[in-house]
Amino acid sequence: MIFWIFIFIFILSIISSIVSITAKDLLYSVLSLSLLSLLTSILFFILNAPDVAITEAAVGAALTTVIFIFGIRRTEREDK
Amino acid sequence: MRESDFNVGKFFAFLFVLILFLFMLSPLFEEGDGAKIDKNLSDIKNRVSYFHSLKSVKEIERILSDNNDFSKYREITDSAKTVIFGESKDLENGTANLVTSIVLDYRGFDTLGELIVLFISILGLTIILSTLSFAKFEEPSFLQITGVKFVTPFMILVGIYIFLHGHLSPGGGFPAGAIIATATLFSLIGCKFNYRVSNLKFIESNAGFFVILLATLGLYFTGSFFGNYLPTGIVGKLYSSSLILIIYSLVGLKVGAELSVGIKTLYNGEKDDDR
Repeated sequence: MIFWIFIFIFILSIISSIVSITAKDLLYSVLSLSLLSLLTSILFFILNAPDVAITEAAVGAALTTVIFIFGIRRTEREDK
Repeated sequence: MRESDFNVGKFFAFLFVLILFLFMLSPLFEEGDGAKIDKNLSDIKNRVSYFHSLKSVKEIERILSDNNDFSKYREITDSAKTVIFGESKDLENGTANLVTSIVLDYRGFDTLGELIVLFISILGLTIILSTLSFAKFEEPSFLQITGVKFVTPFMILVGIYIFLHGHLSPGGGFPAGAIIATATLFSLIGCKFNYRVSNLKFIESNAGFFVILLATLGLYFTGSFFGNYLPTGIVGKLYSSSLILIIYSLVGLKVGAELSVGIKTLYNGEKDDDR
C-alpha cells in the first residue's frame, strides 16, 4: 500500500517539475514548483525523516513561493 | 575623520572588530596542540557515546546483528547504562530527538554557519532593496482580512511550539522561524498589519548575541564550543537539555525576525517605515 502511494507521489512530483520547467506563464511555473516541494516533503515523511519534511514544507512550499511571486510582480509574468 | 564623528561607541566597535580579527588570525601563528580539553574528556569514549565513536557502518551492523541486547553498548555516562524515557537523568545531552542532539551539540558549528549565511543573505537583501520603493499592493478584501485574523495567531502558536519542543519532537529553530515569518507575511498582505522593523531588528540582534554568548561560555565551563554546561534533566520532559532548549528558542526567534525583515523589505521597501 505505502509502496504504491510512494510511486504515485513520485510520478506526480516528476510531472509537476516538468510543468514548472516548460510552462510559459511564470506564475504556473512557481505554483507547480511549490507543489513539487509539498510532494517532496510527503516523500521525506514516508522515508522516516520528519525533521527534513517539516523544513521542506515550511521553507520550500511557503517562503520560496512567496519570494518568487514577489519577484514576478516586480518583473514580467510571461516567459519569452 | 572629523572631530565630531568620533564617539565612544565607534571606538569600542572598532576595538571589538580588531580583537576578533586578531583572534581569527591566531591559529596561523600558534604552535602546539590546539585547544585544551579537560583531562577526563580527552578519551573520546567519555565525550561521545559508543555509536558515535564508531567509524564504519559495517561495524555497527555487525554489532546490531550479533546480539539484540543494545544496553551494554549504550555507554552514555557512567551513571546511566540504559536510556529509559522519562526516567533517565544526567545524560550526555538530554535530548529525546537525536537529530537535534547532532545538529545543535555535536555539530554546533554547522548551525552557527547556517545562521551566519542566513544573516548575510538578509543583510544583502535589505541593503540592495532599501533604496528602492515599490508600487503598493491593492487593498485586501473582506474575506482576506477575516481569514488572516483567524489563522495568524494559530500559525505563530505553532511556530513557538515547534521551537520550544525542538529537543523532543521533529522540527527546530529554522522551520519554526520560517513558519513565524509566513505568519507575519499573512498579516502583512491580509490585514495591512504594519509591524515596526526596529522591533524585529532588536529581537534579531539580541538573539544572535545571546546564541554566541551562551556557546562561548561553553568554552569556559566544559572546554568545547557549544558544550552543554547546564543540568540536562530527565529525558522527555520539556525542561530537559536546558542549553539546547535555550539556544534553539533563540535561533527560532532570530530566524523568524530575520525572515520577517526580509519579507517586509520585499513587500514595500523600507522607505515608509520608521527606522
